[in-house]
Amino acid sequence: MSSEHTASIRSFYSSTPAPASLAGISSSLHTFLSSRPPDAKVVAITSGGTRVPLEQNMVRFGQQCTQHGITSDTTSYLD
Amino acid sequence: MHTTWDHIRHHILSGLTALHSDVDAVDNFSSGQRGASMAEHFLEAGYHVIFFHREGSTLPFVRRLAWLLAQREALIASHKGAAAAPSVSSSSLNSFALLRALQEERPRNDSVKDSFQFALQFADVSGSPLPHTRAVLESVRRFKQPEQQARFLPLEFSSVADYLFGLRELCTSMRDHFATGPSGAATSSAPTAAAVSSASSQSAPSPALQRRCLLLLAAAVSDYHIPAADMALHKLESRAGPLRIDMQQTPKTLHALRHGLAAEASSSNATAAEDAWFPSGFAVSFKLETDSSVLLRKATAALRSYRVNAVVANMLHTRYQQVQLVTTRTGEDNAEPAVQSIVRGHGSGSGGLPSEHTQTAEKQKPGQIMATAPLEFEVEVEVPLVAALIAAHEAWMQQA
Repeated sequence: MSSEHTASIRSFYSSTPAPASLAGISSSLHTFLSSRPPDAKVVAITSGGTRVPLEQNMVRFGQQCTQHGITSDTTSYLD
Repeated sequence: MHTTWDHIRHHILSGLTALHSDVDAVDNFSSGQRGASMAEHFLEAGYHVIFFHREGSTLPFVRRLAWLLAQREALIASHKGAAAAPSVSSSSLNSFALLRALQEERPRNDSVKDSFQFALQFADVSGSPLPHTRAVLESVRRFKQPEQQARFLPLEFSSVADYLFGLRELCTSMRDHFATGPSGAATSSAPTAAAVSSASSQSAPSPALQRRCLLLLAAAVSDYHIPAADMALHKLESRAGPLRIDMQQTPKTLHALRHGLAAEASSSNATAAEDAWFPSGFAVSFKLETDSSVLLRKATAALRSYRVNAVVANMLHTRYQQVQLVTTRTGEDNAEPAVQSIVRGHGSGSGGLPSEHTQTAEKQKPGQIMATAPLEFEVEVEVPLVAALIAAHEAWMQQA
């Protein structure tokens, strides 16, 4: 049971390319954690559902546009 | 890094696109309501909160603002004397309304003061301020204060892979950071020493740094996913026949929190494995079931096999009314776990909103911010849940 879990977890991480967002998450975490006061209590909460993409090259909106691009696109959508 | 407010704007905007791109993914939709609510209550209790959420899902405090704006829209509609003014209960504010309001406030331009001017005015003109309006404004305003903003880190995921890689990073970052201490001084042996000294003396406990961390795994992770190697490389072609998709079981990464991934995986029952992701913090997993007869059994099994500190067990249809907090009894690994029932409070009675206003959670769609459920922020079940989690965490730190 236990080694089954271990094997499937290891296999997942070794066969899946790291997502492009990981570097940003890593540096945000580092910046945030290293600026905590010494007595800070930190809670990490995961929330919401995961999505299962069917295509490898699925274009992610967040990567496609800059903030400004999003804003103006959406503004025109609203008009 | 974005400011949180920029992030909120981004969240609202990205929510819009979910409507257009769902054809190329299977979505494990969850509103994120519980996670956002817990984040609020932990922030208000002074905790520092890392909020790793599905992009476009509910954000702490934004949901309150969404509710407020829904009230405003309804009021405007009724002032216009529209024959079919939307009632508050049926109004489900979508991203567009909130987006418009956020654009009005020009967040880059001395945002904090301007932001809620319109809302305050709204509260004043309405004559008899709507129930909760003041409280909502006050809490949203507190959230926008630099002090609370500085304690809040929003991070996003979308796919299962985003989540699983992010989760590993989140756990190990906390582990490594709190192993060396905030100053960066090498104190890797401190946790053990601190634990020993606090156990042997009655003075103020100095629990291991990592024990001050909590991890609440409230995200809904798909049970199945498509391995990267099996995924179509390019856009799926439209075709005549049915689409057949083979999915594999998503690995139970919860196992790595305490057990690590070393090949032997032979950690003793008493201690976490050396390469465990989150060996010494307070870990809480969530169990959502539809069959009440298996709920506690499964929660207990999760408590034991993953060696988390607590499991929040809840039934799909009553999850906003009641949860059960299942915890191990001190120092008795094989004893029956302690089960604490946590029930949503009752409405204030003085201007509280009718309970049917809390029933819209199931109807929420991606891109729509939950505006009407649950409305009674002060009595929602996450209030006593967070209090119970904090109490359990405090008690556990004292035992170190």
